[in-house]
Amino acid sequence: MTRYILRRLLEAVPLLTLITIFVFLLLQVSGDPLAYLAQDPRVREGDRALLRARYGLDDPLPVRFVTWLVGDDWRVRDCNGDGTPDCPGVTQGILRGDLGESIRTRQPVEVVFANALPNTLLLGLTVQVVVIIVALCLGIFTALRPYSAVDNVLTGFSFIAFSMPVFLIALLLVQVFAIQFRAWGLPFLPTGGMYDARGDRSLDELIRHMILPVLSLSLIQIAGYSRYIRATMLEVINSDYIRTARAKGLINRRIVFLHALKNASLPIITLIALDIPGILSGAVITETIFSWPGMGRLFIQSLEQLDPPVLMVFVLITAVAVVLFQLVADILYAMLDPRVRYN
Amino acid sequence: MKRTRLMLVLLAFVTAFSFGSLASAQDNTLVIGWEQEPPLLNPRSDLAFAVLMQPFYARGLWDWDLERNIFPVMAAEIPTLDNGRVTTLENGNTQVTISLREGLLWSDGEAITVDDCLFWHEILMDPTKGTIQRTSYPEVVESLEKVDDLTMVVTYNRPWPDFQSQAVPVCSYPEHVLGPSLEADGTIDNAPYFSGQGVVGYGPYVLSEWVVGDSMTFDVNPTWDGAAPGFNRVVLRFITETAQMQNAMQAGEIDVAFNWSDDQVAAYSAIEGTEVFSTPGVFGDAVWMNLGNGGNPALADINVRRAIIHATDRAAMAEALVGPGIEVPRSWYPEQFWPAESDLPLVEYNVDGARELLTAAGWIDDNGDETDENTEDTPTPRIAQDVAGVADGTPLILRFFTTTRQVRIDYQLLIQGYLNEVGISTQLLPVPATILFAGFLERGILTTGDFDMAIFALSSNPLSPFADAPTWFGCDNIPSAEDPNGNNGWGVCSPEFDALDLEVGSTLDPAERLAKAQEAQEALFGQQFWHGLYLRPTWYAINTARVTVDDNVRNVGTLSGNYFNQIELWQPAG
Amino acid sequence: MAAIATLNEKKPQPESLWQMTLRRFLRHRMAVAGALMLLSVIAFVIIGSFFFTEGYANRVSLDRSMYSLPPSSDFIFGTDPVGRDVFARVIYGGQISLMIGITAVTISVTLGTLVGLVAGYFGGLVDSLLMRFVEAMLSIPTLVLLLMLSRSLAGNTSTFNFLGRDISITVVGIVLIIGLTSWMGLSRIVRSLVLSLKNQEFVIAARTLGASDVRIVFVHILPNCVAPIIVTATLGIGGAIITETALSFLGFGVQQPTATWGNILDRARQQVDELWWLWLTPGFFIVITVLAINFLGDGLRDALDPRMRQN
Repeated sequence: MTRYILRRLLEAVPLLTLITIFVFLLLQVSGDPLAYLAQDPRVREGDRALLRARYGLDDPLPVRFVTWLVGDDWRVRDCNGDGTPDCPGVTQGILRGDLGESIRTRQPVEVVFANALPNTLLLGLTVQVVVIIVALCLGIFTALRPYSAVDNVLTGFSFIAFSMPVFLIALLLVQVFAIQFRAWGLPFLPTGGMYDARGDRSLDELIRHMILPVLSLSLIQIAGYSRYIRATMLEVINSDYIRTARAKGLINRRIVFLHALKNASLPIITLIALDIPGILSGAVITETIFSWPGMGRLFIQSLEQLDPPVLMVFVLITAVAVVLFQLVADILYAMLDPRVRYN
Repeated sequence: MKRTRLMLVLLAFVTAFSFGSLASAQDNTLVIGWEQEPPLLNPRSDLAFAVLMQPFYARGLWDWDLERNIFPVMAAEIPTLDNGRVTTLENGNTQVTISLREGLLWSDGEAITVDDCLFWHEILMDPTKGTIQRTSYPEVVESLEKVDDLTMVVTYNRPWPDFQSQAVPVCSYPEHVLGPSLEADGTIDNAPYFSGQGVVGYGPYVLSEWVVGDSMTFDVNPTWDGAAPGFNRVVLRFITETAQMQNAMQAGEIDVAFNWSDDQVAAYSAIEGTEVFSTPGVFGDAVWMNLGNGGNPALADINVRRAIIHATDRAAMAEALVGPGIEVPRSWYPEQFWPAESDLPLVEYNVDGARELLTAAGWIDDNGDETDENTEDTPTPRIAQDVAGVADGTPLILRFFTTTRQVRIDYQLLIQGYLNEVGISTQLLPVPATILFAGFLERGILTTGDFDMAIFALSSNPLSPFADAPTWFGCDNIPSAEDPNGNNGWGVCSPEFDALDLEVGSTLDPAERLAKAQEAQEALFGQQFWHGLYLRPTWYAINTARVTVDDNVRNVGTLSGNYFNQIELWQPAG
Repeated sequence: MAAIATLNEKKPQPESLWQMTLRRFLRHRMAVAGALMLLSVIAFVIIGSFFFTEGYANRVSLDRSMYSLPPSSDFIFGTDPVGRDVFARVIYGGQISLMIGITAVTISVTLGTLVGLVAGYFGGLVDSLLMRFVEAMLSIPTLVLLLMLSRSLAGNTSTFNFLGRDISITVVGIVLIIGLTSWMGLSRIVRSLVLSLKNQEFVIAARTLGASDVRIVFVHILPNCVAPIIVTATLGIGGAIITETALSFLGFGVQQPTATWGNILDRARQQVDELWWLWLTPGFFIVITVLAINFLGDGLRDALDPRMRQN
């Protein structure tokens, strides 16, 4: 078991290297992170040149990549352009545990992520819990009554949810629950943010602010999950051994249900384990719409303003999470299904 | 049993909902919807929004109201030629004596002295000590000397008529907070101050909390000795999504939304209990033509440039795309900031005139399709006949750039329609602003001259004519591989303007200076490479149930950055 | 020989695979409805372009009374803020949106199938290299990858001519980006199918008869992978259309003046209340089209391979 895990982790190293190189090259062709400074005549050319030198933007590509990996504290650059090296490097590189500094906020990258990650986890995990509970209920309910009126309505509904762009869902929800409900004098929800600007930052407030983002993120996922659960359950219910159980007189619905659920849980758990790393990257569109200060918004801002150190670490974090949870899914699968052995 | 549980869940849901209606109306907080969060508080260049909250906690020596009347803030008295604080040295250079008001305190209780001004002077003079907007300060200031704790003398290395508005000493940053950072790192760039930690300033409010990505909270500064702020607390809520900003305003979650684009006037006006107003802006959107930096050779002819302006009905476009009563500017330097009567003529909408000018310039309509009023699917452009530098039969097609800002794209589309009518074809190219405006070395489209026409705005300084103009209009500032620093991407070059501009920069007498600036302006914009569309107003939408919308509120400042430079005068409604 | 032929003619024709599939498909009412819906949308955008030229769809009005008109008998879907007919723009925008969906899926299906076939058939080092690459691509969230690629292409300003129309180069960028970020799932499915097929009797028989690798892969193995490929392709078109609207929403979409449903919809974002027709029409078409595609894909999955259901 330990050897298996170790081997899998070792296998991930070339994978992560590949991703790193790919993303690094992609960011190089995305433009100049300091191009925005040229728009403002109040910033003098000298300052721009100094910044370029300090961030090593004029170094050759391989040097920049090495700098990102192991830092630049072993060399001295010429920052003021007088021909003599005068500004020693200060970074240590990601391999030595230095994630770097955001070009736009000048904060250490770990601080940038420490601000965004908890908010995204709060939102994403809530969504995941809501999705699992609701989808399980719906999936099982419809699997026990296939092709009934309720099943058909829910199927139709999940198809519609599946076919809508998420921003349309989000904006429609805001329009109804925040704007129109208020206009009609009904209890209403806030349009966005995490807390009321005039509020006391209580848990109530947080929950109220979470309802709409959670709803818009869940709808599409519930549609997908419940269809999947329904299909898996149906497959088990129609399988030979349940039929045998029924034939033997075990017509108790509860027993059929428990049997089916136990067997259907395997692929469902794997699916959940594989979906969880996706939470880390945040929901770019939903977080943007609801002004939710999480990873998705951090990503889109860093991309718009082109902040390579933040983007590099962002991709690395999500990639590592994918690798880890893939492993978790495989181990879970092996633990739950005695037929599977590590090989 | 089952039913009870269901009821409980429903009840919990309803309770969560109904808290929304309980938001107390009687508190004393002003909530402003903020489109863009500042990455940091360092006044290094950034998207202008980043530091618009600076006047909340940091003020300057003096300021201007909306009518450009100057008034002292930290200074005891405004230096003028009349009160003897501004003198001319024997060598002709300018020297200014500035005194701080007595008893000024930072928000942490420390006294504000000239040492704080000297501290920032040191940083302004040496780029390695911090990357900030230093404007022309290091180039024109020779020295800053301390006379006593409250008095200093700034000496310029040339006659300096802009002593009130340009290259003025800065006393807004506390040495006792930033000094240790400078000592430790050799630069203030990494000071925690700029990340919002331990922000100490002289202003009506202090920054009490910055929840990154969500909001900034300001509370009243106890040591502030100016007008008592009307609101105890100001909260900035960061909302990046346009539609959501409107929704937040409509839901009463924010009291102020500002700087939204012109096409949203109707949307904000429609929100109940909201008053919409605008203040004059310093950004005038215009079509800039590349006449001398590698653009289409057709544009080298002033008559072609003039024909382009004749062909478009700018007043109609401004009315349709921006709003009723929006004026078309005559000059890059907005008239409302121009104390003298402008003699610059407005080139009027005249389609026939445009066609005649084009024909006379050698661009002929060979198939006579221009009488069809732009109904052809693919209008055929005019072609060249005996035009210098152009092969006969070359069609008149121009590359027309702008940013992805919606109003500009709409303008671009309409102008394309107008130009089709006179036989000029255009290729529309909206690109991200960072690519349009990037420097020559970063291969920006404007600086490399890789365009024929482009719509964008270049801010002007309402306090000083042509303060930064030379880099945009001077003959020496056309960017090239040898000298990539200029910003004159359109390649305008008028030796007459260059000479006059030098004089404007060194004439101390205000009246004489204005006359020269006027002359310079005519020499420059007489070249018809600038085609003003509208002066972009700064829009505000304010919830009248929470804020008293009077002149105090409207008096939000003159300069492009001073959106809230008198925020303490804002009063709660009722 | 002749005898055999007569014998065959006399026997009732056994139902071919395709007939069986068609029968199963037709039984699936929602799928048939989806196919009809999709066909009508396609007919709408194609037939519509005979009534309105593209020049008309892109033509602004210089008459201010034509701006931002709500739907009326003259303009069924109203006009936009520069006086263009939204009806005509929805037609041409639909062509581009559908074209983006179809071409992007062509790229992704070709790539996914090829990678899956090669990896599964040759195995060994080729397989592990390709699958590592697939894993690397899958480890970066799709939207993140999409947006980073779009950002790297932003500012490309030229247009190209396609079937007599000037189309912004950003369309090609978007197609490539969507195509290149959505092939990985299919390649895994195809690979696992190939793994199970390549040791079956008919493949071994073909190999013993001296068939080349290329022939085995394309003649014997590929036809057996058609079911998942068709289903993935169908659903992929819907996904690509949704992705295009998301990119437009985030400001990385197809640039004007080329219309797509995504950027017509996005145009209305600042004036949701006043210009309701500007988002309602493209929004309706997006949802209807994607819904139809999802119905169709679901039905095809049932019809082609009932075992694949919901996998």
